[in-house]
Amino acid sequence: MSVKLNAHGLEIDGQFVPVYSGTVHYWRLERSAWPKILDQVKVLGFGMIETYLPWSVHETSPGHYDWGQADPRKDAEAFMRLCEEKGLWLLVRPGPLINAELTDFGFPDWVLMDPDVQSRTAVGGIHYDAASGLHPPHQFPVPSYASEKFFQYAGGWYDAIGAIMVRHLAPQGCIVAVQSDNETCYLFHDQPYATDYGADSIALYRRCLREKYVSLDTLNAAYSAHYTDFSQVEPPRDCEVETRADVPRHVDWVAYKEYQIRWSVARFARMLRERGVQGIPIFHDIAYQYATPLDVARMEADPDIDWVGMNLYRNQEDYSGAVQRIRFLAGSTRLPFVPEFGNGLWSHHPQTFTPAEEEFITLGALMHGLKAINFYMLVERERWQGCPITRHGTLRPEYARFYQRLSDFLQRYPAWQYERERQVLILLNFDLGRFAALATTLNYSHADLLGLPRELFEVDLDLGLKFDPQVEANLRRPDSWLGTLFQQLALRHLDYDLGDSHIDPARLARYPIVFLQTTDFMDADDQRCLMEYVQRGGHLVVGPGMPYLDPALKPASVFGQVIQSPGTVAIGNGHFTWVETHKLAAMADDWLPCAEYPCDQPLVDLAVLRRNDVTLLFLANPTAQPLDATVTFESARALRAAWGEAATLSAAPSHTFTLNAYSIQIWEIDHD
Amino acid sequence: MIDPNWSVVDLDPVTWRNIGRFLEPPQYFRAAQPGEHGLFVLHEAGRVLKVVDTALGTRRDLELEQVYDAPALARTLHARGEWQRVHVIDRQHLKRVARLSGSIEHRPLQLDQYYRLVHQLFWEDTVGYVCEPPKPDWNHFTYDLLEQFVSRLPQHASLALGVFDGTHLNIGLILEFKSGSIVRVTTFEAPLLQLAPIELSTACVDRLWQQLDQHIAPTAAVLLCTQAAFDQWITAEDKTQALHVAVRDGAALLRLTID
Repeated sequence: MSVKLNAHGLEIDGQFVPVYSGTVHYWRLERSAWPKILDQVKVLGFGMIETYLPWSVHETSPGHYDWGQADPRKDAEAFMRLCEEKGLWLLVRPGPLINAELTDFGFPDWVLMDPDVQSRTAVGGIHYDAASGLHPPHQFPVPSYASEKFFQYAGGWYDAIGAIMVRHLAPQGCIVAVQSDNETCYLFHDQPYATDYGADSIALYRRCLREKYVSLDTLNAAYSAHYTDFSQVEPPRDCEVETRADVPRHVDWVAYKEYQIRWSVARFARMLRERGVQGIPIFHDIAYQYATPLDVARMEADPDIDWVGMNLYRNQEDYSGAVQRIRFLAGSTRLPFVPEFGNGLWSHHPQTFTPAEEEFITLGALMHGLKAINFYMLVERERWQGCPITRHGTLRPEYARFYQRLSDFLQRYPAWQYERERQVLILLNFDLGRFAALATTLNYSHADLLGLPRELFEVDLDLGLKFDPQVEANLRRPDSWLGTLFQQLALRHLDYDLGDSHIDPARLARYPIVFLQTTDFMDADDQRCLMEYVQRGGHLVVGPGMPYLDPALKPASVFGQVIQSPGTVAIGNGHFTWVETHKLAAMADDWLPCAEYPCDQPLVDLAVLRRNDVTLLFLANPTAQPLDATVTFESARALRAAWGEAATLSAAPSHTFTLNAYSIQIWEIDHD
Repeated sequence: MIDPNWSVVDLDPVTWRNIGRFLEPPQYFRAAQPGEHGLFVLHEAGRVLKVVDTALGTRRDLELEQVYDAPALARTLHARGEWQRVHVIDRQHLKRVARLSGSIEHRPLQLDQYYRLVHQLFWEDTVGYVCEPPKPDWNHFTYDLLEQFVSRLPQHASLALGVFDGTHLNIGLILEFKSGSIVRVTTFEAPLLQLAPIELSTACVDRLWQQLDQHIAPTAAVLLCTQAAFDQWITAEDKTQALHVAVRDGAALLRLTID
């Protein structure tokens, strides 16, 4: 590969290049303004930019393309040449889906209007994108990502745009990475029974079943059924579970919805490579989900997909949501990357970011392990506001100031080369998430508009389980096992990473202790992988229950063979602990490491990042009130402000910080 | 009312943060009001599937098994005084709304028309979704009210709204209409406009009127007002009266070419 991916960024022709980028939509900017705008991008300190390559903008009628002949703004290749002249690297995202607040999300109208392309809901209607909220200015029928006709149309687009892209691939050209599709996930309608019941989708579902069960006999045994052909198997259209025997069919549908996403993203990646897009990484961006139907670990394990990132648009009040997602990227992906890091927002968003908010969330992400970032958008355009550069090429001083400061900071402290001080990994149980998803209803378009309570969408199943999957799978429940664990870690100011039970086992060796949520059921192979980690010397802590069933609720036990009651056992070179929720807090002291720098303010979030002999201390106040926090060091330490203009703190064994509401301070710890 | 290819450009971030709260569609659909203590009874053609109390979660203790008369049940439960609003929802109704709205025939509808259709499907069936007290209109606005206003605009027209907190401009919004559809949305920072100083004054109304006429479209209305007057207008039952009072009190300046 001419461009290689590593844990810190990209290697282009042997040279390290960080993924520190921002978005510029060439076709929405006056052609004459392009040079000025790219110069402003460089003034802000960026050496890389990103753009979509929008299908419907260029293919103006079937097979006819405007590459600037009719509208000079559409000369994509001229934009690439200009990037090369200006010395800017380029990430490109050719769709086919791009959203970008374009009418119809960048799909040509004739593609959307082909009945063979349109996805169908469980109740037989067209699946409109507007089904799960406001997507102005026009509702459109969502294409099925299982539709062969859709892939044919998209192949035509890839033929056209691929020919341009291959002339500009790095290292000779500016393009250093390409994205395969965009936020692939049923156009935000991710409830399992919401959509994709068209003929091609059901055919793909049956293919998925065939791959899993191989023979009809195996499927019949699992389903307690008597099918004589796979074509007889119909998917569930709602939660129709009455007994345990109904569960396998529903779990398989939920798993199929994951399969379709991976399959289509990988297929688009192969289609790009077939058109000559080779030698550079192909990545995908997940919108925001880290549970079914998105399976980040398995998507990254797919040989056709090099790298998976997750987008992030968060107001300051949702700091914890932002941080959890960055922790998940840090714990689960090759290079923690946010391909769309919201700076500025789409025009129908209810709360446009302030400059202070953009600073707070960005620093919070860097604090928790973000190593690659594309600011979406650096330059304003139609249907988007709150960026550092206007569409006319002028700076918005109140926004631009932060990006100039950030670029200066990253010159001095390249965050992508720093490592966080964290020893704990928490694994979400993927099977639990699947079960919670299958036990849902009200999968009908627009039900989300009615403001109904979350519990109304959950189906109460009486299947004789010891633990309520809806409670344990809900990460917001403080009374769940995981909720209790999160509280203990926060109280101790211990930083941690997140992953799930599909994690690449090679990643586990980085952590001396791994926590895993377990209830009545769990995939046996996943359990075996985790037992390997224990054998090799790791400490695995599970709870609240001990799995005795597989995800289809058939008897299966792996962990249960080594431990029969709560407690700790030595296995191989490591330890295995089973702890119930009510004992988790009391026992946490026995296993959790001590924070390197204790802090007396439990509401303050603290992280330590290191690179060689440089240590950075991050302190975040994620509340609406100012907070004082005293941090204690192992010996007297002087602190220099790494962010901001605060005076150096002379050597002392502890320091007290006053943190404004929703603010972050960064200090370099003097080692002498 | 919303052109499928509308242009939304040059949005000053302060204006956009301040109008963002109006851009959340659920507030125009839902009966349940934020923070309200509600009881939700979900049934399927009479068979109760689930009962959820927003404060206490699932309520099996209410022993509701069958819904015979949804409005009567809502009234009876509400009369207990436990909940601010009681909702009785037939799952079949939600399914029907999804099926009827999900028709390819609705693709040509403008987005607001499509949402209006969905709203009608939800609420015109008198027993599909019943609540006690009934669903309120959002701040006394109705789609009909907006349609009436737009129908009185000239074929090509521009409107401006300026909302001030003291001397600070909280909202500076400009809309361009063509044939009853919004074709352009922008703000006072649109580069062609020379509006400074922007203030709550007749001189500023004059400047806006003239600049919109010259650079956007024939001006049909300019309203400049204080934040308090704007908030009162949003919540008032009689919108016209609220504006008259604000103008009379010097809290608003209004110029119109329509009745």
